[in-house]
Amino acid sequence: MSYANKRPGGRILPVPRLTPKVDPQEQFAKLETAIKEIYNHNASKMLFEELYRIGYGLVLSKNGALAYDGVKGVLERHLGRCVRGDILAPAAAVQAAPTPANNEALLVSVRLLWSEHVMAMLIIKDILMYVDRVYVANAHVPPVYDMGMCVFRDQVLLAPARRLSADLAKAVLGQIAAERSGIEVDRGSLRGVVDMLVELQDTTQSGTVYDVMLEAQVLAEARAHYASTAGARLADHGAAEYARAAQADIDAETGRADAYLTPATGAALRSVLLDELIAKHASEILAAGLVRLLDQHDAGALRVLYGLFSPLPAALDALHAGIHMHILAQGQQVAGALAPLSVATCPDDEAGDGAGSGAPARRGQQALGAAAKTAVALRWVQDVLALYDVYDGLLHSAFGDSQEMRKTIHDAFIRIINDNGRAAELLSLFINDSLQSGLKRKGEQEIDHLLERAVLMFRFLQNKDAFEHYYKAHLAKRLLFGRTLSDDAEQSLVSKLKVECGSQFTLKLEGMFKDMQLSADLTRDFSAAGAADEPRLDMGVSVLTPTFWPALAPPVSDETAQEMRAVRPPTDQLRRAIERFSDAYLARHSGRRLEWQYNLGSADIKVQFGARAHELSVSTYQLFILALFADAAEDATLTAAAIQAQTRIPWELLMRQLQSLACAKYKILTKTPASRDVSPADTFAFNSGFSAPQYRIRIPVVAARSSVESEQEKAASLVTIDKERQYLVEAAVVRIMKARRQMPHEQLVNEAVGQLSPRFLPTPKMVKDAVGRLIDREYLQRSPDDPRLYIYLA
Amino acid sequence: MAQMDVDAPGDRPEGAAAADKPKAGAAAGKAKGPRMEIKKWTSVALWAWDMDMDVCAICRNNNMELCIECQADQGTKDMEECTLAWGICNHAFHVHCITRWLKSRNSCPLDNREWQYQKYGK
Repeated sequence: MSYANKRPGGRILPVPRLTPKVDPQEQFAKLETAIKEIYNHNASKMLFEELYRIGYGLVLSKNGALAYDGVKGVLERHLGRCVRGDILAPAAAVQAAPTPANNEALLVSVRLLWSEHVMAMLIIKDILMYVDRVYVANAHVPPVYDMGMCVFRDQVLLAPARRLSADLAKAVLGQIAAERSGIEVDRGSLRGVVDMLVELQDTTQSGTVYDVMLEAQVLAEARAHYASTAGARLADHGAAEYARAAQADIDAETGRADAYLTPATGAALRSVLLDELIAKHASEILAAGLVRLLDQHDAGALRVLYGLFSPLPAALDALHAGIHMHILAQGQQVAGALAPLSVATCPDDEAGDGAGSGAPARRGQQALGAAAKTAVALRWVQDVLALYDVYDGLLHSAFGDSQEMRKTIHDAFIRIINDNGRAAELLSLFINDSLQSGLKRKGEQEIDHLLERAVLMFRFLQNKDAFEHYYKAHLAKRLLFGRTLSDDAEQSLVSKLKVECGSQFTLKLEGMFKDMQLSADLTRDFSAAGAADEPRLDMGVSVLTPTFWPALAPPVSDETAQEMRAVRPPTDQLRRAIERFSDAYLARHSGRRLEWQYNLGSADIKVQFGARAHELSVSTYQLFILALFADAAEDATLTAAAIQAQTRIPWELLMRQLQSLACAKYKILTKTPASRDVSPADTFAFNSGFSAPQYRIRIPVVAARSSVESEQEKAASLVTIDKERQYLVEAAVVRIMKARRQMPHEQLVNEAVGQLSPRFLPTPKMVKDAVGRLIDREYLQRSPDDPRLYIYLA
Repeated sequence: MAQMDVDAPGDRPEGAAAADKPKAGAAAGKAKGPRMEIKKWTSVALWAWDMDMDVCAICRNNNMELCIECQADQGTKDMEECTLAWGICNHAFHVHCITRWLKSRNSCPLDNREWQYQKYGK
C-alpha cells in the first residue's frame, strides 16, 4: 500500500469483497446442527459444499478460532452425552462384577461409540478442510481429526471424574483371563478396543494410550498368572510335559497377542513367559528330566526344551552344561566295562600268530581270556561310537544343528575319549578287527562305514601319535601274517588318515605298504630265477625297512635278543635258500645288509606220518625243529639240549616251541617224560603215528599274547612313543629355526607346540630338551648377547 | 583263531599213536620219499645299511632316518634321494650331510683322510 501511495497519479482501489455480510454465530449454529446430523447418520442428506463454505467463510472472516474451538466444544458435549447415556452403565457393571458378559457389554459399547466417532470425524475433517489448511497451520493447533481423537480420549477414556480407562482395562484383562481359563470370548470387540487404544496418543505423548494404560498391566497379569502355575506344574509333570505345556502357553499367549493385542506385546509376553516358566526354573527343569530325555533319545521333547532354552543365555548355558555332564557320565559308564583290562595280564593260551615268543607260559587264575579281552576293548569303541551316534542324531533332530551344541557334544566326546588312557590302542584294535576278521562277515559298504566312524573317533583323539604307534603294530601283523583281507580297505583308511593329519603322519604306514609291495616283486623275481634249483623250495621273503615297522616281537630280555641273532637254519637246504635270497637281494641294493627275523615268518610243510600225510602250517622256529627230524631214523630221539645246540633258539623261546609241538593238541613230536614242562634232558622223537581228521593242520604256538596290551607292554609302548616324540620335536624346532634363523625361547616353544599339536601336545620342557640336544649337536647356539635367543647355525 | 587247551587229557591222537606206532612204522618205512617236504617258506628280514655306526656322524640322526634337514622338510622334497654315501675309507654318512661337509673341507669327518666316494646306498 505504502508503495502505491507514493505513486503520483491515479490510485488503485481494492477489489470490493463479494462475500455477503453474515453473522458468524449464525453460521456456526448451522455447522453445529450439521455435526449432530452426522452423528445421527444423516450425513447423506446434507450439502457438503455449503458446509465447506461455512468453514471457509468463518476462517476468512477471522473466525477460525470460533469454528475450531466451537466444533471441539460440540464434540465434547456430544461425547459427554454419549458416555453418560451408553457407557457409564456397563462400566459400573464391570466395576461391580467383572463377569465376561459385563466386560463384553462395556467393550462392545465403547467400540461402537468409537467407531461412530471415527466415522463422524472423517466427515467433519473433510468439511473443515479449509480450517485445517489455514487456521490450524497458523494457530499451531492439532489438525481437526487429531483434535477429534483427543476429545474422545479426554472425554471418554480419561475424563478424571469417571475413570473409564480403568474400567476398560479391567474389562480387557478380565476377558484375557477368561480366555486363559478356557472361556470363549469375542475377540472382535477386544480387537476393536485395542485398536482404538493403539490409535490414541497418550496425553504425555510418550506413547499410545494402549502402551501407557494397558500393556504393562497385561504383562504384569501374565507374569503373575504363570508365576503361580509354574512351580506346581513342574512338580506334577515331568520335564517333557512341562516343556510342552510351557511351549503351548507361549503359543497361546502370542496367538492372543496376534489376534487382539499388538506384535510388540506378543514379543514382550513371550519373554515374560520364558522368564517365568523357564529362566526361573531352568535348573529344576533340567534336574527333573534332562537325563531321562537324553537317555530315552526323546528328540521331540528335547527339541521343545531346546527351543525354550535357546533365547535365554543363562538357561542355555545350563542346558549345555547338563548335556556335557551327562555325556561324560555315560562315557564313564562305558569306560567302566574296561576295568577287567587293567587286571594284570596273565598269560593265556591263544592260537598263535607265528610270532610266538615271550615269557614262558605261567598258568594261574586269570581275569579274562584273550578273546574276551579283545571283545571288551572292541565294545568300548562301539559303545562310544553308538553314544556319539545318539548325540549326533539329537544334534540334528533336537538341537537344530546348532554350532554351539555341536561344540558342546564334541568337547564331551573329546573328554571321554582322551580320559581313557587306552583310547588310541583300543581304536586301533577296533580297526584291526574290522579289517581282518571283519571283512568276512561284513559287506564292503559296511566296512567303509565302520572305517568312517573309526576316523571320526580318531579326529577326537589328542594323542594321534600314540594311535600311529598301535596302528603300525596292528597293521604290521595284518601284513606279515597275510591277514589283510582287502588292500583297498587298508589303503582307503590310510588315505582317510592322511586327510585328517597330513602326509607326514601316514609316511611310515605307506612305507610299510611299499615294503610289502617291493618284497612281493622281489619274491616273484627270485622264484622265477631259482626255478631250476634242487630240491625246490618255494620261498617268500618280506624285507622290511626297520624305521617304518614297529617292533615285531614282544619284548624279550636283552640277553635273549642277543641270542636270537645267533639263530641259524639248521639244515643245508634252509641255509642255501637264505643265502641265495640274500645274494639276489644284495645284488639289487648296494650298501645294505639283511637281518633275518627267524622269530617271524611261517612255513607250510608236508609231513609223512606212516602211511598218512598231513600238511602242517608252522612257525619258522617250528620248521627248524622239525627239520632236525626230517632225515633222522624212525625212532631217533633228540634231547631238548641237543635241539637247542643245533638250532640255537634261545631256551626261553625254544621251550614254548617244543611245548607247542609235543604237549599241545597236535602232538607232532613225542616227549619223554610226557609232562608239560620242558627241561634240557627231556627227549623228543618224531611221532610217526600221528593222525588228525583234517589234512591241513595249523600248529599254534603257545603264546602269552592277547590283542590287548598288558601293563608291561603298555609301558614299553609309552617309551617308544616318547622316543618318537623327541624326534618329532627336534624336527619341528629345526624346521622353525631354519626358516627364522633366530628366535627367542618363548616364541620358539609356542611355535613348536602349535606345529605339533595336531599329533600330540608337547610340554614346553620337551621343546626345551630338544633345543638342548640341538645345541649340543651344534645346530643351534645361544646368542652371546641374550641367552634367551637362539641362532640357527647350519 | 581257535583257542586250544594244552592240558586236555585223553587226546585221541596220542592214544592212537601208541597203538599204531609199530605197524605204521613198518608199512611206511621205506616206500615214501622224504619224510618232510617244505612247500612254502615265508620268511621275514629287516634290512639295514651295512655300516658300523647306527647314526650319521654329521647330523647324528639314525642312519635309517632321513638326514636332519630332510626330516624337517618332510614331504616337500623327494625323500628317495636322502640316502647314504660311503667313502673309500668305508665311513658312511647321509649324502646331504657329507656334501655339505665337503664344501668346507675335502676329508672324511671321522678319520681326516682325503674323501673319495666309494658307493651310494640304494
